[in-house]
Parts: sequence; C-alpha cells; structure tokens
Amino acid sequence: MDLLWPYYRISRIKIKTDRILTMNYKIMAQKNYAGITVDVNEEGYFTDPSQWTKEIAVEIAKEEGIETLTDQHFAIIEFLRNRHMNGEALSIRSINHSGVIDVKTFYQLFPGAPLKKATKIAGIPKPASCV
Amino acid sequence: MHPSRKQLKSPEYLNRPVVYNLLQKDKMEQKNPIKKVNIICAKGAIEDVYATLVMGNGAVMEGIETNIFFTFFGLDAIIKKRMDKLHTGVVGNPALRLPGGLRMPTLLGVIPGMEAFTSWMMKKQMAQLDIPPVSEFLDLITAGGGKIYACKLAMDMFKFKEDDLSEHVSGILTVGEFYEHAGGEGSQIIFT
Repeated sequence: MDLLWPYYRISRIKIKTDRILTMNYKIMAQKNYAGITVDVNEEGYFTDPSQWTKEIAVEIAKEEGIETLTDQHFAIIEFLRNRHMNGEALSIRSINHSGVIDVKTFYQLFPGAPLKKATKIAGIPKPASCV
Repeated sequence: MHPSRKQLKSPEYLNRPVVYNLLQKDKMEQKNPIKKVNIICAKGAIEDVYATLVMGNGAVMEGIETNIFFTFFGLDAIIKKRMDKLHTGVVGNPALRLPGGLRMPTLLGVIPGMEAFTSWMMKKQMAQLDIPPVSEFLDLITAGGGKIYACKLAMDMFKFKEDDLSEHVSGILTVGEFYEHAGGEGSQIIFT
C-alpha cells in the first residue's frame, strides 16, 4: 500500500481534473426566451428545432437587432424550417428559388449576415454551405 | 458554495452569467474582424472566376463589405456574351484527372472538343452542389450589396465597350481608384 499510494493519489487527481474538464466542455448552454428554457449551442443556435415557437422567434430577433417580425419574416422563417426538416441544405440561392421572397428583400429583412441571422431566429442549426 | 439540486434546475441558475460568458468568449476573441474584402480576378478560367465569386458571395453573406475587381482575362466573367460560357484549361494543368482518377495526359488535352467537354463536366458537377451560373452569381452578390468593378486598362486593351458589360457592374476603375475603394480599417485585398 505504501508503494502504491503515489499512483493512487495521482490517478485520483487525474480522474478529478478529467471530470472537471469534461464537465466544462459539456455544459449545454441554455437560454430563456419568453419564459421557456431552450437548448442552444455555444453560438446560440438551437440544438432542438422542436423547442421553437413564434414568441421565441420575436425575442431572438430583438437580440439580433430586428425590432419587429413582419409576415414576410415569418414566411421566410417557415420556408427555412420546412427545408431544414426535409433534410435539404440551405443556401442563399435556395432563397432566390423559394418563391417566397427574392434575395434582395432577404438582405433587407435580415440586414448584415442574413442566412446566419434567419436560421438563428428560425431555431435551426447554422447552415454549413458556402454558397 | 455549490448549488443544491433544486437550484441547479432553476432558470436563475441555468441563465447564470457563466453560460453567457461562454457564449460571448468567441466574440471577444475576434478582436480584428474583417470588415471589407477587395477581390481581384485576373484570370478567366472557370476555377479562377468561381474562386473569386464564391469568396465574394461568402463575404456578402457574412455581412462583410465586398468589392470585386475584374481585370485582364477575368473580364470574361462580366462580359454579357461570355460570362456563362467560360472554359477551363486542359493543357498544362497537372491536377486535371480523368473521371476514374487517373491523371489526364497533357497530350489528350489537345484533342478538339476536350476543353469544351471538361468545362461542361465541371459545370455539371457544380450545378449538383447548387452553385449558380456566373450571371446568377453576380445577381446574388449585387443583391446583397456587393460591388463589381471592371478594370479600365484591360477594357481598353481588349477593346471592350461599356455596353458589353453586365448590368451588375458598378463602374470601370483605374488602379488608383481601386485602391481608393479598397481603403479602410479591417480591409483586405485578395488576388485570386
């Protein structure tokens, strides 16, 4: 036992630090929107799109600097959500072909980085496409 | 003090500042974000033009101010009659491979129609990835506020007139004017 104790001590410390590290990394960020707690990733995108509601969308939009969400906003959000649920990739071009709005209006509705903002407000993951 | 089980589940604990700090960490790390990109395209092969357009469109999508400057053979990408008929070089391109993965011998490149076939093949592959044709790409970029410019010297050299250019082109610039447009904090010039 005397011979073993340093190893014992070291392994115990190691386990402890490992646990602390993994705990820190695995903190699932959560946010409270409109009285509902939702799971988000480290960038604030929803990890579970089914937790999304229209009230939540309004609050995220305010966070992103969009004061009011119009019917046009909701139409494109619905389009993005449907497309995501069908497992199709999102791109700026798909907006142009959506028939809901054209790209120019899309840039005006979500100024700055439109696809990133719109997906965040729509409660779906950040698009991984380059075009 | 360690929070109790009840406290762990309370919204006050879940929305505690620690979580927000984790979220804001990335933003704070990015101290010098790119605010403006100026991309120069001097070649007119499919891969050169698309590298420029994809990077430009990507910048517009990220909310970065974008200027694209087409010069020399790159002008083909903004000439109305030529923009959607770009080709790729099949001679002297060691990375070019046949569909099976075998290297394409340079000698095969001189076969008539080989360049057209390879270009058609490349365009087909890109269409599958939802990459738009050049004209539509310019449309997307300008819709997002990106600016397209042509080089004055190259225009004179190739005897192009303003009417030959696509309607998405904002102007014809000299080198000095291009540098004026490229100025500003967080601005980058990229030569593709």
